[in-house]
Amino acid sequence: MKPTYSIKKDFSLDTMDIVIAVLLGVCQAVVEIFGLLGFLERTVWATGPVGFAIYAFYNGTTWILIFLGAYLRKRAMVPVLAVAVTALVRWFSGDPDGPILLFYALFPVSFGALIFPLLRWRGGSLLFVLSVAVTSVANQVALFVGQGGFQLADGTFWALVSMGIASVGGTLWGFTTWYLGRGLEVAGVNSLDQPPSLNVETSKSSEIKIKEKKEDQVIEFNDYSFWFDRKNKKQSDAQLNSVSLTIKKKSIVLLVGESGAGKSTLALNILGIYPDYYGGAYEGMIWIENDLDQLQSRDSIPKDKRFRNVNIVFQNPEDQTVCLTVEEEVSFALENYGLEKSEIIIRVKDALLWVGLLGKEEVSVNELSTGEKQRLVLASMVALRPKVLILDEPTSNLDPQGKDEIIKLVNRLRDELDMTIVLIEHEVDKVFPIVDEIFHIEHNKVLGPFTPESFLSEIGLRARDELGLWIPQASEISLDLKKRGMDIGDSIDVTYESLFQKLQAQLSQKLSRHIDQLETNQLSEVLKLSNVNTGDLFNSINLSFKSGEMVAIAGANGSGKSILGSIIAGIYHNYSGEVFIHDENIRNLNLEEITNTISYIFQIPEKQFVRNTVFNEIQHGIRDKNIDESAINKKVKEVLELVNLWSRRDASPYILSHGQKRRLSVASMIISKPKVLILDEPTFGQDFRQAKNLMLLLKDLAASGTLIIFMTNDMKIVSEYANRVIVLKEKVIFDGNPKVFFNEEKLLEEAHLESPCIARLNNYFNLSDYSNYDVVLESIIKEING
Amino acid sequence: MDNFKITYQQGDSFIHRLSPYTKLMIILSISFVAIFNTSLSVAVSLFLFAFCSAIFLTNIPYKLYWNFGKIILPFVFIISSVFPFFYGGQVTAGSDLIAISTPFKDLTWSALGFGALLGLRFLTLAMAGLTFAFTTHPSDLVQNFTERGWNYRYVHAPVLGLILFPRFIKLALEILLTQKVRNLGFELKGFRKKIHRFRHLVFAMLVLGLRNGQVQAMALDVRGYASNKKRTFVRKSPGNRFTETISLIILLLSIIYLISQFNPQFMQWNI
Repeated sequence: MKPTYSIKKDFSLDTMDIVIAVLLGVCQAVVEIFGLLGFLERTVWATGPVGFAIYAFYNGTTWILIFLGAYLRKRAMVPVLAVAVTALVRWFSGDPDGPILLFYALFPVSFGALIFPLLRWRGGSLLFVLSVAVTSVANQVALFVGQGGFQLADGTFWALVSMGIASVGGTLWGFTTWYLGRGLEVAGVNSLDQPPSLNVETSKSSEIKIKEKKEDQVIEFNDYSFWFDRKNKKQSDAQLNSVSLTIKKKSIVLLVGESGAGKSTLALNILGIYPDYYGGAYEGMIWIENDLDQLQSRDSIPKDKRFRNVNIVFQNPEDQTVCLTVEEEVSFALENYGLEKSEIIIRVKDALLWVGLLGKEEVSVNELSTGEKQRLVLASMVALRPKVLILDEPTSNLDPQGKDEIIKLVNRLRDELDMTIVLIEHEVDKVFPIVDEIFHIEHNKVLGPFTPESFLSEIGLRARDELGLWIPQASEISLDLKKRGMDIGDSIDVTYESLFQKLQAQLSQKLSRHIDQLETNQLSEVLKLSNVNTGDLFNSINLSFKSGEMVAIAGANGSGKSILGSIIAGIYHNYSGEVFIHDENIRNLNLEEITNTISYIFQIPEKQFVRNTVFNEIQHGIRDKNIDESAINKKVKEVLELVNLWSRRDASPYILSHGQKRRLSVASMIISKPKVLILDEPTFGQDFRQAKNLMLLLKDLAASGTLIIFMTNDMKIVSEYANRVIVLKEKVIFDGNPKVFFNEEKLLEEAHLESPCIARLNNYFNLSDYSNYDVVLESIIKEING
Repeated sequence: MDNFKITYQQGDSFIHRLSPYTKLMIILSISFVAIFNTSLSVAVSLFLFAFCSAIFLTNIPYKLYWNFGKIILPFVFIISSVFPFFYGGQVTAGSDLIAISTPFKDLTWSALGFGALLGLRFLTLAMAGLTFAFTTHPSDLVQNFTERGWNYRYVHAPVLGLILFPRFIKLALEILLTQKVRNLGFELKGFRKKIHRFRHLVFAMLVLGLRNGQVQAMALDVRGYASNKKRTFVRKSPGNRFTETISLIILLLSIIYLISQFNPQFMQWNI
């Protein structure tokens, strides 16, 4: 069937279109403000006809980002909105050019945007070329009308000449727009293949379907399958494959599975985000409890009611805050749904009280800490009071105390507000004790439900060893002991307390003994910090680091771990005191000299990539130009094989999975064999297997003499891999053996940290000088066996 | 940039109490007249009007206006001092007597008046624009226009832009840092290195920003973003219909004034 064109669809925008237009408009505003475009342009104009001719050629560059929106979203209105956003962002950030731009830029962009409906999106790449060219010419006309340019250009003749130049320049920049769009697609940015205005698909029938509830279900899947690609509906390629499950009311349900298994996809299908908002195809049914306590088919629930009863909090709170102040943020959803003003005020106050943000109503959202932002997005859900709340890794950005607060909040949501909670979470130590049921997603199928105990007994150590999942450390210990033939009862412990009770019967508490400084492959002092002081975060830091050490820097959120790492790496300068690398003060070195010795790996790997393929990214790490190409290629291959990325060497770094990106970011730094490697939260967002492989790689590097410093909130990683821990709270409150630190209750509390299960057992029973898992386990077995 | 604040200053002045619509109509009026006006006396009057309104009717310290406004002073200087050399009778802003003799060209009072006119134009627009930004909360703007029938999502988009703006700045700074740390472009020198780094900066900002866009869009949709035609607003937006009507009349009068000054014979104003 031949697609028919709908102009109404071309000039209406869905939420994704708006967000893309806003992002591009903001990006353009950043470029214009920091590139001083207004200043440059007026200087160019001031030179008269020649200036106008020069400007005519390059004015199209200011439209590249704007029309990129039209390329990505295939709607004529997107560039118009992007321009309005650019102008208003500049205006409200105090740029006096903002108001001029609002009037001056909307005129040309409207001309360019009209090209799409006029040609009905026929023309492929040439369409974007033409639209930018037309906009450039219209820009020139606006300039003449606004600036008296006919006169300044020394008459009509030169004005027409400059318009001709604008059309040539605009053609070139239009190609650039198209080319940039293609490049972004390769880097994983979604773009539409077809304009929605040419979409002939009619929406599925929304006949209301209701069914009887047999149990106290709130969500039910019946043989449900989902595909991202509508054109490929082979069962073997389904992202969710014949899922049947029931979620009960007022329960806390945990979804587990390795990275990429489909946990978030399942959650978004419950909501209907997939397929109704962001595409995809499905078969089968999802039933959701409606306001009348009946089960209603998901696709028959009207969109304006869809998210009243089921809602979600995503992992990163930064991606979800959409208002300027705390109060606006919490009331946003309630205002959208048209609740009464008085009701909104009461709910907002109540929600802020719940999460401990009462009194911060007028505070700007951008001023909140990460933990506060996480609580803020939860507050907006508390205010909305859905029946079912999905939480996607709610504790990932938080320190142990922060994690505790969130878990307590989750319990309260279930107990006091009767919410059903669906959790996606790696931090299973705290979550398993409160969870009622677990669903395990493996190879796109959903297994379960399990209770925590049945999950551990049926899947057990396979979850850790084969599937790479985190399981509570108490359960790990329990299962490992059983596997080695130890008799510690039938049940599998989920908490430290229950495991401790069992072991207490079999182990005796020994007298504490002197803990020797752990031996490391220490060669020489590599780094020294002398009286380092930032004023607000910490002061009087005096530290010395030796080669071969594996040092963890720990502390609460906001204690300055990342800042300290940045100071050591020479990329943060707002401090007093000295940092010496091999006795050389880093203030006397330039950044290139520092980075020859010290490599810094960011928490978010994507921010570190500088090349277009995995291979080139690694190759960039070898800076020595004297190495010939074949030797470089050989080295790159070795490193890629070491981190299991050789098969992905031609891929864009941005489209790798999270674990792959992390390995790439590490590999690209270690190829140059730095003396010091600093990593910010290296195991962030990683499953067990990915985290273990990474830390073992770092351990090997330390064994070969590299000083490894990593900043982390994860005490399991500290106890397992670090031979030294430095704890920050306004100063260094501890520096030494992790085992000793985990015995210091007061310090742990002061720093908002917690001792991992293995370390608590080790300290209580005084089993070993080391808090590594395998060593302590062996000690337990030895003690039990006598 | 985490401490980035919008320019809005809390207050209860006369201009604070006007609705955003009223203020926008007045800004439009001032802008049209400022951009198309060719009379020096009108330009001076307009600038004085904008200046006095800003200083006396907003209760905002003049220092704040200075902090933001001083960045355009180089533009104003360039325009006022360079454009007189390109004067060719575009406007009648003084006599034809020579005021200054220079090695390039003798400048008449009319030429100097032309430069002054252009400078005053930008000063007026800047003053009016800053007054608007200082006295208008973006959420009030959204509310005012939504209540007038505009699509809430489109009107809210710039507010979303203001929220994302500091995050983009932070992202840009992080990418710039990465470029230094990883010595991007080490094989290049000078201007070529700068271009190479600029291209990477824009590309990385786009990739990282746009890939997060999907989650942001989902986060808006799940909170009922414009799912209902009628939306509640908790915040009390200032203004009333009377002042809005007056502002519309002012806009119409300014357009009528401009039309009356138009000289179709020369496609220019007031020649």
